[in-house]
Amino acid sequence: MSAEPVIQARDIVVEYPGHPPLRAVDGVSFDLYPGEVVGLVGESGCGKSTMARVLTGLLKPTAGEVSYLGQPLRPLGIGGRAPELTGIQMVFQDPGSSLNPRRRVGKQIQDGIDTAAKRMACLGQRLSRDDPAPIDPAEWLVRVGMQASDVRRFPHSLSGGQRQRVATARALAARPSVLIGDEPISALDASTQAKVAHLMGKLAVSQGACLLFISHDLSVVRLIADRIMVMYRGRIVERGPTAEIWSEPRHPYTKALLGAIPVPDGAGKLPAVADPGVAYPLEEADRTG
Amino acid sequence: MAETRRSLPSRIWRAIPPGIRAPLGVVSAVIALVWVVLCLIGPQITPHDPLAQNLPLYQPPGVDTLLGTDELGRDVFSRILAGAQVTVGLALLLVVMSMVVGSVLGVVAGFFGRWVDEAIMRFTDLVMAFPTVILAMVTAAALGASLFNAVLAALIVSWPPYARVVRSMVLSLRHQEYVASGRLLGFSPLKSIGVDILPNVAGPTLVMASADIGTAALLLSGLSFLGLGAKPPSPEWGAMVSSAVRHFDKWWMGVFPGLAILTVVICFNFLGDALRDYFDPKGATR
Repeated sequence: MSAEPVIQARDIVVEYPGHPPLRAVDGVSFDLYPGEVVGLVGESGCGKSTMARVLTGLLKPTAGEVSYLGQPLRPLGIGGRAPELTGIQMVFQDPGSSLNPRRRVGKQIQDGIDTAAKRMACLGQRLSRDDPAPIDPAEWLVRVGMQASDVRRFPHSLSGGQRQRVATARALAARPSVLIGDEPISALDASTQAKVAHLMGKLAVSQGACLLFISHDLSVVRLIADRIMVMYRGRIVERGPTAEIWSEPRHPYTKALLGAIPVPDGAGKLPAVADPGVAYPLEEADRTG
Repeated sequence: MAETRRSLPSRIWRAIPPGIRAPLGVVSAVIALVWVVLCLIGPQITPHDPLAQNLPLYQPPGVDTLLGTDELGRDVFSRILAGAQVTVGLALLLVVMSMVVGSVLGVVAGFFGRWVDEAIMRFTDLVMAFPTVILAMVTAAALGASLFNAVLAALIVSWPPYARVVRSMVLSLRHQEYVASGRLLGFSPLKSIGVDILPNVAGPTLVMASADIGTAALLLSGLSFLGLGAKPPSPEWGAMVSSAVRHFDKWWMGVFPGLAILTVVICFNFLGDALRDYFDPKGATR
């Protein structure tokens, strides 16, 4: 991790208004580096998606700061996003609404390519056929495991997995330096989940981008992530390399999450469910020792 | 349109058994199409000059004068054909204009939110708070009786439903993930609206507009009936009914323009409801 971080999140706090205000994210800090896959896991409502929206600038944090390539990230306002900030891309959760139902798949991927072209034009560069990232929507479809002829199709004729593949292609066609997947696979069936997750990780890293993969499912995240951050009640309670978290969880909440993964041993044993009545400690587990 | 503001033809439509709604929709579409065609070619195919006062007065429906003649010896049938251009044509124009005005305000309010939304929607509420016909009458009377002012008055009262419906659709679309994706890709607000928002609100808005054509025709003829719209000798249907009221025993003078208004109102409304059912099968049984 010698390179400069792509994204630095510092003491991010997000409160949603109410009586009392709901603190969805409570002092989260982390760095994301180019070429790595980071898993952010936690149960629903722990603030993962809020964090994703803050990192993209879709949501302005109540306190704290996000830096992108060393510059403070301006949240998205009424106006359009500046070309130099289009290097932050996101794949959303719901395959039903991640694509515009009225536009052909090829056009939507073309949007991503245009975005990349615009940003490079700002740097005085141009897209080229020799780039590692394709500049043709059809090629992108092949790359995400679909048919080149699918460019003519409309989203409603695609399966959920295919739509998430298209959404991934569109996001990556913009040649981001960071791709955020906000539960991009949670609406897919089990066999498709692993395939799409693998694809996202492989393609993002091959472009030198960082992938922040957000999921509630440790078992899938484990397959692709280099390191994992565990989020609980708006805080990161444990972080470390995937293998270590998996084999030797320190925080009681991480242990509970791991215990909640069903074991296919044929015994039909129900997974241990993290008890909602139990309040786990909110301090981050010490993994130095 | 909001449930409480459902028009009479719409309520009739709900009472029709679902099985025969589709064929009825087709019949309505055909009649509506006939009126639209007449609106284009009507004045060219009249058997008599609609303005010429050269026929015997008060002639009952017969062979030469199919639907009789009026108090000035003008052919009622010819006047109805020519009047299609005035009534149906202006109704179409009015609906298109209300749709454009309402949609622009609705999209701006829904997309930009905050105080823009507040300002536009409070203004919309203000206009909607008045009874439609009365506000139109007051406006037309204040502007002076002419067809142009009648359309202007009708426009002033008929854009708010579009603004509200479009705004609510934009509000829900704005939080669709593909709109957020577009913003992250650097779409300008204009591109976001043009590419991601408008195409997805166009369908329901057009359906609403088609159901509104009949109501618009009724409003315009209503204003003309009250003397606030078309001036004599213009063959406007509402004005024809209005002058027929003074000659009640010569039933053909008022009944036929009235029937013309009725078919336009019913057919365009039924057409709109049929389209709504077609595009939203779930809503058909509501």
